[in-house]
Amino acid sequence: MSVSVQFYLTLLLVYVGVNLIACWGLNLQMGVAGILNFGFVLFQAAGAYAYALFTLGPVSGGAGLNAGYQVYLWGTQLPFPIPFLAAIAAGGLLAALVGVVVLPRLRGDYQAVALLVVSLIGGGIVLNNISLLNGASGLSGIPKPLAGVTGLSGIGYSWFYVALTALICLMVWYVVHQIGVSPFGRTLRAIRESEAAARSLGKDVKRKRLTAFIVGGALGGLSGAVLVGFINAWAPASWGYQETFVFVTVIIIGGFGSNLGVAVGVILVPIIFGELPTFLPQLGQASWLGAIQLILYGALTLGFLWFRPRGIVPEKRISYSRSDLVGRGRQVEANEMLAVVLAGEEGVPRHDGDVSGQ
Amino acid sequence: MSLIALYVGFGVVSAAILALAAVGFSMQYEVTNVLNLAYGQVMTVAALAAYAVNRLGGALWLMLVVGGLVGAVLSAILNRLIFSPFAKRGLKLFGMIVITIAVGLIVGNISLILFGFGSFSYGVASLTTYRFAGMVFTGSQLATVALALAAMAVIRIVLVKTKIGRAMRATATDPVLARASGIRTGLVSDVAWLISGTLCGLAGVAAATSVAAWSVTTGDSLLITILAAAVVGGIGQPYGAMLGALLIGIVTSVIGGYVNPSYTEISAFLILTGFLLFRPAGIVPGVVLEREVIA
Amino acid sequence: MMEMSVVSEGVREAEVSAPILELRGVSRQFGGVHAVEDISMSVYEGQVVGLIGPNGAGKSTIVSLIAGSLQSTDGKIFLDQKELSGLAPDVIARRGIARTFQVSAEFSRLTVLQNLLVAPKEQKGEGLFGALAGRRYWGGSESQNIERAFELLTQFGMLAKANDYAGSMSGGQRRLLEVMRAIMVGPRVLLLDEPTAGVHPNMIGELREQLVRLRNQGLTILMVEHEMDFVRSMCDVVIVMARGRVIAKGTLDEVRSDPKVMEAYVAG
Repeated sequence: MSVSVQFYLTLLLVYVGVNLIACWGLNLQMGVAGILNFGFVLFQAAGAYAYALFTLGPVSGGAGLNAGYQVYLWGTQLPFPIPFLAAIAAGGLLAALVGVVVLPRLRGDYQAVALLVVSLIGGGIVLNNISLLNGASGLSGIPKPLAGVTGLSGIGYSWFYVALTALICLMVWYVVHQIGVSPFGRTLRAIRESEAAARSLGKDVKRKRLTAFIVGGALGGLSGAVLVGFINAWAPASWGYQETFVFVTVIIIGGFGSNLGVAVGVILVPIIFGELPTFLPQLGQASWLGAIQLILYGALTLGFLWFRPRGIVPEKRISYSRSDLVGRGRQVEANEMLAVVLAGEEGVPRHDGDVSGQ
Repeated sequence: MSLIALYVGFGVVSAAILALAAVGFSMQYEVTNVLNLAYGQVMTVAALAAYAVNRLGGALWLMLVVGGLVGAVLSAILNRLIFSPFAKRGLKLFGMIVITIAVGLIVGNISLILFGFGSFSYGVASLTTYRFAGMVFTGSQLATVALALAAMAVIRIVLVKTKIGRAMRATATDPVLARASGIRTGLVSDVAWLISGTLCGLAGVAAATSVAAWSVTTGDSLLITILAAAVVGGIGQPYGAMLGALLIGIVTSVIGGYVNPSYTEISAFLILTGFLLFRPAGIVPGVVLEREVIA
Repeated sequence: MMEMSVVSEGVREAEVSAPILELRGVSRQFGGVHAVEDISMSVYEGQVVGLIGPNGAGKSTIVSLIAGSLQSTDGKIFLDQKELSGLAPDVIARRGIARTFQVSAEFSRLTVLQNLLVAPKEQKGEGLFGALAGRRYWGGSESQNIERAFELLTQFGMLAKANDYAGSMSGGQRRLLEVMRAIMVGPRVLLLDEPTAGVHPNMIGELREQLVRLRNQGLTILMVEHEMDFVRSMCDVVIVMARGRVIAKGTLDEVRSDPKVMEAYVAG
């Protein structure tokens, strides 16, 4: 494989990872908890900027390259993985602030519009106040994580970054999957279906939804960090509300509320439908490309909502049977016996099976 | 002091246009039950149609008529082709909002391909200026403000006083019940989209008249302030939207112009946050939240 | 408003202790119109109280006021002599009042079983960190809840529907589902809003049997109900409402012979 193809491939893979993290986060908010967040990209932006500020160093006299030509409010340079953690914190914190204001006070329709407006105004603020985050030109020369430590450069580093992204995706998958199958996820889905009924069962609806919103926002922040760690630049143009719509399209096509579906959607939507038009023979001016892509996204969304509203891989129905319970009980017994065998004569069986009593 | 008056004057003009657009948006939600985020793009298409009239030498009134007509017809078509079929399938609020965004993307980007990225201006801004209490207005600005007020008044009267107006609101609230009580809901919903679409088209032309350069994406960015005004006003409440638009229009204009241009968004943001925190039901108190509790 | 004397003997016995649920002069207005006005009533532990009356009498409003999904404009509501007025519905639910809704409010894209599993209080793994700890942390309590849910489903004859989406149930099945779900919370007071509406006649017998069993275990029930046979066989006391006011209290037979009640039904 030629190096340029490899570069393209690594870029594509990192994009897939970034979109996976972001869409899983948004799916937690929207698909599982039923919060219509049309401003999700704001949290991705917050994470991206946080990563930048924690790696670029102080504004003047910072790491050689970026010194002097860009301005921002504050900056420092801390080692991996602190900038990533800062991005998670930034996304989560912003989600907490926005969530506290918007979620308990507004009905679903207000929420959707208010979140959209907040993200749009947020973009406007960054754009027009250059001293904050360098305005429209955005931040660039953002350092790559672990570049010095690994000693890799060029395509080698790119493949290393793909692996790092994959590892982060696995961790995020663990989080969203565990939430999805847990009683917490079930309560969130119940709230999505009927807030009033969930409340009548004693569920603290505000708190549960806010928690889901914050976790989703933190994942959005993380996705932003993973993105800028690779492309090393970030500007307001990267986070218009169309970006959120692309995420929403992914979730609708993949399967609302379904983490597996979202993964399928992430691979299908931006890669195939986003990249496909670039391989088409030039239909007109090159500048039409973005427009054609967005038209495709719009059309796809309409098509799916009409023909397959639950997506390619619908939210999984969790079934139980009484024999399951008995079966699980048996399995624990088997585990204990195995533990006894493994522990030999000196050991006491460890009780770490799935049925631990209370 | 006089400078402040000047910016208040600018604010009044932008607020009037904003009010026209925000009232249209709110009313569309009230009478159709669709929170239409493709609104900005329909405004744009209407403005473009008016631009064509303008190039052919048509007068301002003709541009407004054509713009209003295009807004009305396009809105009604979108409803017939897309919104209404989806609503009949039982798609709820969330799905419908997503659909309007999708439609907005399609309409917006098609107009982008057809009309390009360049900006244009009508060149109707009259040079005659009028002074009033330290504020300066141009003739076309005054015409716009007058038009905005007149259109809002007329449509409000139609909505509240006439039979078709009541039928529209009944249909939006509960189409099944409305149909059961003998309302021809299909026709009523067409009328609702035609009327609210007219307002949308007029707002598009008015907005394009008042800015120096208009491009295909201007309507889109205008939607931010429209939405902010609608939220501040309490969504689905046209009077509230009007007050919200006035507040946001004038405050952002004065702060952006007199204090510092980079504070424009921040001031809009603060107004919005303030309302979300302290008056979540919007400027006009009570009604909406109450309705939710009962349902 | 004065307390009307209640003559039934079982009730007298119960009245020795303080009421578990009490309304004192409760009113609720909608835009100047009284939905309910100056309502006072006492419900004692282990009682089954029927709330009857013509349509629009304000019966469901009472249920919503007690459950906290509506706030009263006047008057006070007590559970165990502790005031409930002003509390959020979820807080009231956690204090021990569960309810069903007049218009079914099932979680339609969850299965019937999952609907029931949402209900238990203070589940392990229902918070973020518990969820992240994984099944080995919450699996145990989950198994117990599943066991209980299966038991209820068996008792209500809906075992075969356990893994079907709640949204695909018939109207009557949804009613039963809501009753089961409310029971899963483990409440002290159960508010039922027309529990038999749309329920198949064969199933009404099962419903009655289960509710009686729960009553015998000490559960207090307040139900809005139109089906008079059901009320007769279930309720110790009935309270008759018309036009937002209480017009009679007593056993079903007592209130039936009350001329005010007859008038209300004819006029209502």
